[in-house]
Amino acid sequence: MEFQIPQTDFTTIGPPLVLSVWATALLLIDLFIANKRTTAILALVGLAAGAAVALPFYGQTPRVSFEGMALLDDTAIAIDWILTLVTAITILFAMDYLKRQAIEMGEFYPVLLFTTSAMMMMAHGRNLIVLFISLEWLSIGLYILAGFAYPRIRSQEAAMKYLLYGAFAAGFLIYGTALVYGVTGTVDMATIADQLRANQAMRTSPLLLVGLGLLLIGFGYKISMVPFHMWTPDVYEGSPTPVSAYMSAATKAAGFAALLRVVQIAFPVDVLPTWQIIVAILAALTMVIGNIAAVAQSNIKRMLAYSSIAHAGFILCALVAIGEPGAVQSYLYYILAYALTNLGAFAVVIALEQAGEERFDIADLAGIGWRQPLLGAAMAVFMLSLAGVPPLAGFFAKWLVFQVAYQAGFWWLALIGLLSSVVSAFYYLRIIVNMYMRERSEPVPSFTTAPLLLGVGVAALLVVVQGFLTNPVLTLVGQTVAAGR
Amino acid sequence: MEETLFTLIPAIIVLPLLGALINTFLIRDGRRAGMVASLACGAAFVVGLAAFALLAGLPHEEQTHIDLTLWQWIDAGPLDVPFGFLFDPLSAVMVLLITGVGSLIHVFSIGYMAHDARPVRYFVYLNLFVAAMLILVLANNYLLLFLGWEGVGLCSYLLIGHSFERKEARYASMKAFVMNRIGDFGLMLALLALFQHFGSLNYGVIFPRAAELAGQQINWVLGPTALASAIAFCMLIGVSGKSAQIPLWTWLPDAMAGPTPASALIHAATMVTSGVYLIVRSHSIFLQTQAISNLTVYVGVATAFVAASIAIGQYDIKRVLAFSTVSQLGFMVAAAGMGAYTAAIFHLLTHGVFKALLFLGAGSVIHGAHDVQDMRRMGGLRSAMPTTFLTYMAGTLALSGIPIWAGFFSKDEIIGSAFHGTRFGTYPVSGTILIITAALTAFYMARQVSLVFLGQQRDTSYHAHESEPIMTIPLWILAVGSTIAGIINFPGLHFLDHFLEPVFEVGHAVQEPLEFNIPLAIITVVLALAAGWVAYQVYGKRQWKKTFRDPLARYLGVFFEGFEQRWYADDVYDTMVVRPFKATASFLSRILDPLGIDGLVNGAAWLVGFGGRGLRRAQTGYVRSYTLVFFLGVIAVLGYFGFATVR
Repeated sequence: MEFQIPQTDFTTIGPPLVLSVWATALLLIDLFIANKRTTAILALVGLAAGAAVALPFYGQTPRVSFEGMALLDDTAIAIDWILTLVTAITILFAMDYLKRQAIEMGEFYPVLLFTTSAMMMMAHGRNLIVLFISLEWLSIGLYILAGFAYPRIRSQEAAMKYLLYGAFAAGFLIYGTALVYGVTGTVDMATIADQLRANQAMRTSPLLLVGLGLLLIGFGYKISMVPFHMWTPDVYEGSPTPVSAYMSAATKAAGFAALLRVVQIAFPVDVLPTWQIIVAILAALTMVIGNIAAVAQSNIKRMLAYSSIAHAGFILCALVAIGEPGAVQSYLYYILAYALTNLGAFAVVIALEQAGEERFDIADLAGIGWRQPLLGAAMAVFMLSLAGVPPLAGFFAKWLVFQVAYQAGFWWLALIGLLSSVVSAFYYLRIIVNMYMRERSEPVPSFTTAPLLLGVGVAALLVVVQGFLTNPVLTLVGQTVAAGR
Repeated sequence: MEETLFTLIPAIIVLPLLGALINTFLIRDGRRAGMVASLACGAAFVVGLAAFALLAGLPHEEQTHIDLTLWQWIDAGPLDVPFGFLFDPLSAVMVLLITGVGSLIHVFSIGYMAHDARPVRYFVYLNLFVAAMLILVLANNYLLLFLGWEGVGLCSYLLIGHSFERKEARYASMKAFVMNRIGDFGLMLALLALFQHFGSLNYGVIFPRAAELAGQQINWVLGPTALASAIAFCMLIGVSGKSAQIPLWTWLPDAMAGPTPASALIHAATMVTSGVYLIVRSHSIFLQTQAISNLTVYVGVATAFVAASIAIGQYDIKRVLAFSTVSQLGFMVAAAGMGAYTAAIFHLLTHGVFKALLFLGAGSVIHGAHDVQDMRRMGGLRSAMPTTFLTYMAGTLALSGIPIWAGFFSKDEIIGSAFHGTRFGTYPVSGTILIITAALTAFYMARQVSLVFLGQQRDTSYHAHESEPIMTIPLWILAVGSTIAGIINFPGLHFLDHFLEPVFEVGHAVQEPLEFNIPLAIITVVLALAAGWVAYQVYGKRQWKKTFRDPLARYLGVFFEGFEQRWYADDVYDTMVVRPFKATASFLSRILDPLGIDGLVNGAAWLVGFGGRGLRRAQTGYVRSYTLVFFLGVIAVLGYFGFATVR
């Protein structure tokens, strides 16, 4: 029997491939590097290389390879770039933090790159199995990172909880995949859609719908959709802060990328609109519960965790309306705005965190705006953007998703979103009030170093620029729409 | 050539913005901040000069087409607003005034603010102001103009309240802000109406089609009105707020609570003239409505006269100048209303130079006299501050309209236009009032110079000294400028007329350059000299006590009291607006709010807090309880899908 080697186009997984290879090499190189700052810089170089690989393919026709399992289109590239940005800023945050916490070990950066690589694969996968494997792959990286501050019991607790919960949720995902396969006979997402289009009976099959439900649950857990969100605050609180920042931004972005692929390619609304309503209801719940719970927090990290839950709800508004023109742009625009802002917001926590001691109470922020002008100003930008104050990116993001939700007929969802935004302004502004208008007799010391400030500065600048350049950014991420299928 | 212009224009705005950013984040030392700020503004001036030269070199008809869209700012359905700039002769001369005079004022401030508590903050605001003002004049659409309009308003507010430890500074900044908001509201209404009609706010769309506005009727407060009139009226409200015209003029004198150089830049040379700029820029719209154009003239003339009369009765050196500014703005607004747009811009430019000089001179006096502002406590400062005196004289002669100094030419052109007539006809009564006002101007300036510089020092409790070179050098430069600036539109040469012509071709508003009216000029000059001589006789010849009452009070009686008390405008506003407002507010805050609104809001807040605490209790930290919730979710989701299939 003749064995035929299939034609593979490695460029379809270019960025994640480069990152994986580079991370493997970096693990070895790191053995010979004494100064871990060098490892960090090398990791940044790898990220840049990974992002650059995709550049020639941006704006081109989508490419599919690996027997239809991998896909390279503008959506994937946009997600790749968002993830690159987030990871780069995370590395800048981590550099001095790890040293101060006495947990500076070279593996941190390769593991981070592996995880990012896995996240990118979520956007490149066109196959349910690929998505599942990528999800597991990135989870393993995150378990390690969450427990990286292992001398701290809280960090261990976070890693443990994340592992237990993750394993639990993964079961749902693989079971859902199995059911979908059982009905359609394929795990290829494009073929699933073709099957559904061709076969009326399949569309109402209980097995298929239950399978879809399980898939939504599995991904919903990753993006901390209510009621599958409860791990989020505990894990974010316990993990080393740069890792929390990374999880809140990158993991979310990856989860949303996968969700987008599933509903865009496998279960398009024109074929199977059934999922819209339940996702809309869960989105509403996510916004309301996330925002209301955030109000009651006095710990900044937990507050930011709930804020990240709430924003997942806002992003879901665009997912519900994904059939509308412009919805994918709004979706990606929001992800970019949210990722940069939430990531940056953790920086102030990093600056406050002393070796061994944890100062995460909102009252500890008192006066930091005056003592650390750059950090304070950046944090104010982030909070205002999260609250949705024009002309920052957060405002346009919210406006866009509410608009598409409204267009799609989900006016009540837009209304709930609007109302819960109002609630959210309270706890974001409370941070600003604490930073600038409160003073403490004994201010909590804060540490800022050049890399941290660079990371914060870049994030803040981008948030402002994205707001001012709303339209160009939309066009940049918007070419994906035509190529989406 | 156009490409070069396209790179230069954004740089003009970015430079001061960069200065503000550098000072905000990197500089902590006041003097160094001043250097950075001056350098940024000076660089903007140099770039502006280069752009000006390039523009002047372009063929006549291409000069209005330097329209540069940086990016699409807002693109939401029908609303499409570019972030774009229009660099035409009108914006070019404005840019030169703003950055040129601005640079000198920045330099002067280094010396003036040396002993201030927050110099860095001051320079940040100053640079920010310059950037906002440049956006205002360079915008190619009304929304971007509005951004600058609001930006300068904000910076003005911040600078008036710079020394916020003083109660009157806080109060004055608030007053300025509120009054400006009223005006801004008018402008906003005008923009909405324009957008409703044209579906766009871009100059390039609106101005060529402005004639449509005259035919369109709308239902206005007093019955049907042409749309053009309604829009122009709303704009006029905005103008009266920003340029301190009747009825929204009382904030400007109080704005003198800010640092003197800031007053020179914002409340004399640039920001307050943006109302005039708005009318001239929107001339295509104003030309469609004779009624509102006439109203604009009356507002300007009335303001000019009233403010000049008040200036006679003031004792504070800066207040005299403040009312003088209001009065001169009245001249410009009147000219713009008549359709004498070039005359308005001409006076705007010369006034920008010589009024900045006077304010800086006053600043130098206040600085040298250890923060004394009451002119009754001064006197004889000529010997202690010779440079300040000399340069101040140049400004005084320019403002009083004495020949060869700049103000003579520009003011005469306005008065000449009133008598000679424009497309709207002649304004003989207004012109006569303006001549009288010009004489009053000479009177109060001569009075001020006499009281401050001539005679003997009346209050000898302080020792006046001349200011340092960093402050006097800008004074010299501005003094030279005030002396020769008339050249830019010298009768017979008409440089400015010709340069601005392309701008007015768009709205078919080009006027024949005005011929020099010699009898008129002789009348105004003789009147001005006579008024100045009288003032010198009254105030400069005698030795007063340091708490004297103005001798005019004896002769003018109740009229002079009116001047002193600013025609009671503040009291009237206080009784009619502020007090009823406060009473209503107090009623709402004591009775309605606690019961109604607060109850509702606090109830909602309580509900949110209660919900939050409840949710926090659910977050036990146990994995098993989390999985329970997870499972409930699973049941709900699968239940939904099950339900969906059964149905």
